[in-house]
Amino acid sequence: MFSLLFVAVFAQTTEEDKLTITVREFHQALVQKNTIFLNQQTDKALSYGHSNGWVQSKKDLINDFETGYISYQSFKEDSITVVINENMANVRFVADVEATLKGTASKLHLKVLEVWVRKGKRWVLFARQAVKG
Amino acid sequence: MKAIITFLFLFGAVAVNAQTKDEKELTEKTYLLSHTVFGTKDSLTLEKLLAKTVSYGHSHGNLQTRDEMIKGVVHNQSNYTDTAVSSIKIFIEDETAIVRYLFKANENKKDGSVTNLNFSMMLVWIKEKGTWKLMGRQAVSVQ
Repeated sequence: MFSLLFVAVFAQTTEEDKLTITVREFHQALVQKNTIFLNQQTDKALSYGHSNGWVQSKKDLINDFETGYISYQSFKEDSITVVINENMANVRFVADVEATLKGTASKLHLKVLEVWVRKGKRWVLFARQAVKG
Repeated sequence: MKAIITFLFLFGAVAVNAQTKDEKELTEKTYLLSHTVFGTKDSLTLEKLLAKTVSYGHSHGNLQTRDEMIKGVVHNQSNYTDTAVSSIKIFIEDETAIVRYLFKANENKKDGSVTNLNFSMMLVWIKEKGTWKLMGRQAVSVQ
């Protein structure tokens, strides 16, 4: 009985699991400059805040990849926590990021808050704020 | 002169009316939160403003739950002077709202030292039973 329950719990994909997968995919899309995916997975009112206080709009996020203003060489997130409240979620994690801004490469250790909102069956990124951790 | 006053009055009225009911409530609550955290430190006000599952992130990266945040504010022995909230921007998506603003203050610590604070703030608000509650906060230092 115990083992049966155990299996049942693990077999179920929760909304939190689903969102965690999307979050990871989103970060890899940043590295790959997959602007089609980034466009699909972000809210039109996106505000994307960096650890130095710089905030990108949705348009900035897409354009700054296309102009080469910023690029990510790697993005590794860890310790993801997802707290869903109705149709929104707070996602917090730590991340090791290698990024190049205006030709200057840097390695950042970040603590990040992402706010995701549910649109139908999909989750889209509404806001993000990073802080150096 | 009268014409200028009339113009200012009309302009002011239009500027106020341009805010939606939600934007007005979010702006007021953002000021109230800031004023409470860095001023009155009143726990009852914080209890009303904070959602149960709030996560409250500081500029150094440390995170607090609702209880930890309220205790932290109440027991904070620093005094804040020259506090200023500016550049408020509000983004609303259904029943979730993001408020971004700049915050400046001088933190006067108990030991007599003074630290200049210069933060960019992101607040996450959710609508619960028709009223906006703080679900998240992340400060970042822009010094």
